Amino acid sequence: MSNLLVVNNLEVAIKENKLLDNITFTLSQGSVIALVGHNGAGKSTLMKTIMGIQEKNNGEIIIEEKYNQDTSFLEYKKKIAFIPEEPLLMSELTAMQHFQLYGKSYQMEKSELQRRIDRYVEGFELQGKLNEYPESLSKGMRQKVQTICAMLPDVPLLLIDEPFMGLDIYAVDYFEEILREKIAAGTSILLTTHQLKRVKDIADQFIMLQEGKILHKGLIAEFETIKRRSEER
Amino acid sequence: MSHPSSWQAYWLIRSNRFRKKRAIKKQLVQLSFDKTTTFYSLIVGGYVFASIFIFNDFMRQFEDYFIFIEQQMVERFWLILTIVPIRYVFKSFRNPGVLITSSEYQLGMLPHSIKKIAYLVAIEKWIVQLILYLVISTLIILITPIDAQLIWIYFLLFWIIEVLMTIPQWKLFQAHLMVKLGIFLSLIILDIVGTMVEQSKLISIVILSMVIIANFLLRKKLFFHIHWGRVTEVNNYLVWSMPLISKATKTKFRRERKYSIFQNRASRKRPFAYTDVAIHKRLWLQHFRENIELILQVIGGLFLAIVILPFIHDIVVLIGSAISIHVYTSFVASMFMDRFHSGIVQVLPWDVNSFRNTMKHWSVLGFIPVMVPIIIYSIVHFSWWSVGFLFLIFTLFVMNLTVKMDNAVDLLDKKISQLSIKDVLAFLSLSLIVLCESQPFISLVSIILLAYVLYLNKNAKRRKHVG
Repeated sequence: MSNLLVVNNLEVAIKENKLLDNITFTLSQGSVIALVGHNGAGKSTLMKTIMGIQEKNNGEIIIEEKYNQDTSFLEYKKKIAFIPEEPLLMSELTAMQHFQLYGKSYQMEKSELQRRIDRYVEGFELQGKLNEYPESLSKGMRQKVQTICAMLPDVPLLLIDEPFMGLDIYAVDYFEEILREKIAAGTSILLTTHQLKRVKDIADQFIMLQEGKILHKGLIAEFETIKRRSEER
Repeated sequence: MSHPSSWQAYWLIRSNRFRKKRAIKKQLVQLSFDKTTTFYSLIVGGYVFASIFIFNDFMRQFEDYFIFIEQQMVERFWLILTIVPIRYVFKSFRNPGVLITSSEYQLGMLPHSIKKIAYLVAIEKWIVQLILYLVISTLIILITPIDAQLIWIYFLLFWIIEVLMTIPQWKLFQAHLMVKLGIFLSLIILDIVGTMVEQSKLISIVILSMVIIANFLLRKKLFFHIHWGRVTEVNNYLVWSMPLISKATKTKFRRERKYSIFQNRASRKRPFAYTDVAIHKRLWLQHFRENIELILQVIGGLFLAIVILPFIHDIVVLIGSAISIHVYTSFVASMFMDRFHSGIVQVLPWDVNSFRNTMKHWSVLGFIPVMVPIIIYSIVHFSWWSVGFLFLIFTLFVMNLTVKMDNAVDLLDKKISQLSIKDVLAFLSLSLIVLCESQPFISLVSIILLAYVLYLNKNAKRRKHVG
């Protein structure tokens, strides 16, 4: 399998304070890596850095062996869809308008976009909510809208910060089903999670972060329950 | 059962907010300076201050200016008095004036009255302002030779207006945009008329009387029809927006928008026509609304500068026009880049050229207020060269905008932009405006510049096509 994502010697710091230090790993096409670690370990920072929201100080991030974040950022961005931990929805756009914004940004055909919207809206039980603003939706519904947004385009890399956060049990099952479809179609996924049981069947590998550094990495089957930070010291 | 003390609850929030801010600032200082540098910087700073204000006759050198200021303060007393309340009406567009954040508002959900909390916030504001005015007045009296009595009168009046305008600003913030705009413009017109017919004293008394009557009439309706969501949203931003921290941590503080006056219109809820233009238009409007204060400040500032400059000297108007083009086009490029770093857009792929196209007419529209006084200036100093001059101004605007937007696009693609020939050319070409004063035929160069701009655009289109 070819390397879809290469992260090499990544370092993120604010002044002297290192948020990520010497992070190196690769993600193969169609595989899933679960980022685990305590709160503040650097999981979300790593996600944001790969997204390009957080500036890095050192290192390189390359997708499909040719799209380097430093040299072809606009092309690089087209290869990723991101689900943040907290929905980033805009107050000024309804759910449907968000879907259209995503469709246009990823240059999707109108008919294909509509087909996928219909399918996911039904799956996530959001019928009747398409013309609502985020403020009129419950937190769980907002998370569903954000999730659908990222599921609409076919991109080689999906970044998901806490995939099941705020979703009800039916939505979690449906989301898992879509993720499996995406993986089967060759999409690679990097996700952060605290619900290890949920992702154990999806993920192939894990990376355990602690204080901005990689503590362990390997196959998900080898993963032991995270020990509390205090126990490890 | 005894009633809980609202004052203690409010004070708990205030003191903890103070501590939190102090801790953040302390962290920033620790990150930015080391103790040795800070120590020596303080010594150098103290020495500079002492050498300027204590050991030198620095202030005496400016004595004439202070006498001039004092004269103006006496002569224009009534005019200044009419202007001060307008400041609060202007502020009411974006600021309720009473700092009730979501924390204070939550006290209202506990066994405390939000009205009582609001009074406490207002009283605290008045006391802080009074202390601030006292300190500033004392410093001015100590440093400058301006008559102390005059300064006390001014600052006392400023403080009284601050107190008197609290209720009108609070209620105006809740009012419809057109109400605010109507009152704001009426006051300005009243002021201009008063100045022209030399009746500033009368106008000042009228305005002050109106403010007092407004206080009287509004005092019983202070908490009717209050958009608390909007009040807390604005105040949260005002309290926690800390520019230095933002710069050091490379994190932008943004208003958490929960409210828009246009949001409830059914047409706004309809799905977009599936085109870049329709979608980007909404994104731009949202971005402009979020930055409306800055936009008004920049465009208004440039407009006022060009209106005032002809009273100084002709050549200054030309220099001012050249600087305005540079400032405005840099501002547009910065606004353009900022769009991609906020909200959901930051996590999406960016079709920057499409965004650029959809922003184009807004950039031209924003330049009209800058262009209007330049056109009036040209009409006042009319010759046939004026047409060429205006054409030159517009061509230079388009050229500088094109070059700066090209740079912005490169920066968004993380292509590190170096100072190129076209940057230098665009900037230097602005000097042509100044040269027009002595050699009006220079305006003919605009034809060559226009050809260059067309070449740049064609080149950009070709690049896009190849890309």
